Amino acid sequence: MAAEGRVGTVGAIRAAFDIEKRPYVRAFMALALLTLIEIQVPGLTFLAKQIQIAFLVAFAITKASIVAAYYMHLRYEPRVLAYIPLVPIVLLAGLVISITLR
Amino acid sequence: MSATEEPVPEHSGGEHGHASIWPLVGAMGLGVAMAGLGFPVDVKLAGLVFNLRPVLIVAGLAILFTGVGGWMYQDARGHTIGVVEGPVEDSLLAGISNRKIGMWLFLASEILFFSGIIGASLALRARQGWVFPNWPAPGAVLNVPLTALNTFILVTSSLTMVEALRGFELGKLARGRAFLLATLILGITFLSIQVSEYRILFFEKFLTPWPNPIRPDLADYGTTFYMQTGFHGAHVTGGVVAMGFLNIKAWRGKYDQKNHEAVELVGLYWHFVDVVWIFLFTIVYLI
Repeated sequence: MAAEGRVGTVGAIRAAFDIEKRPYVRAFMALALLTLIEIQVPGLTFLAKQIQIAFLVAFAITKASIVAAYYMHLRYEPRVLAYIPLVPIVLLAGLVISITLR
Repeated sequence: MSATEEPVPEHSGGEHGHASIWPLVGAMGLGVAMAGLGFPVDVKLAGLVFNLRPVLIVAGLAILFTGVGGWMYQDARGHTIGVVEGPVEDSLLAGISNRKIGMWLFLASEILFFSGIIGASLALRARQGWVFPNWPAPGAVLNVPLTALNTFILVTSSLTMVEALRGFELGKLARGRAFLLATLILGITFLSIQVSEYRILFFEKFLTPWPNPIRPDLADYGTTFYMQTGFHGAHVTGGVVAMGFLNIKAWRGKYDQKNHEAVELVGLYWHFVDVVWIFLFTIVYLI
């Protein structure tokens, strides 16, 4: 079977190499940096509240995407797996939009 | 195939499978507890009205703990999960184990759960307009620097969790165990700081989950704050319990390069809790 071929010796070595190279620490640095920047935003009083909210939401989405992609391995899994959380995320987006547009 | 024939992998989806009654027991217990939390249940008996809400909550939690305990006991007795020996599963999605699909489906339901809670908070705030004139400014009531530190701790625990998994994947078991222990310690630290924060908010700043006469202006704020952070804290607590169990099994040598799917699945849950906190920190503390 083709699937069995993937777990041969060469495949296992390649998989180990891929796992060793995954940039978990770099992802962490990005998360820490974004958090450090993020907590400064409420102090930027020259920015309108709506602008602050837009920045903060963008930061949060970016951080969550980094965790999902690297730590939850969505970047390394078959793409079809990402469709599972995508469904409730679309519903959540609809909920938030409906609340904010009231 | 008889039960004594060995090469059938435990996770093959065959007739032996992993069917266990205990997760269902735990889920039912949680359902009963949540029903008690969410609905007033009054029973009239001999002219007296009895409030069954506390009974439902306590009974539900007792059933939940029984289910979780039974599940762990069964797992510790040898009905292990996580034997990864190759593409032997007839999974629903090619290349992805059924357990991982199950965990992602569970996490999808959790997204809906937190959507409801966060949505309720946003709806309350949106009533006042988007500059929130009657909502305390960031840092006015809550301790943002302390919570930023706690956020950092939780994010760090995600790193240690994924490094623990990498350790097991590469067969570096000591590294895997060490990072798993670090994750447990960081999780407990996060919870300890949150409990400390709750104590200060409740007793010193009079931020309560219900309206109180000292700070009536914080009624909605307090309710949404405790509901969002409390349910998240409950999830972290569940994760810490699972992490403790993983640690015990790991230090007993139950996980190795081929058998570590449990570490990955608990890791997925742990990272999800981290993702939820990323949004809660933004919504509750910074906006």
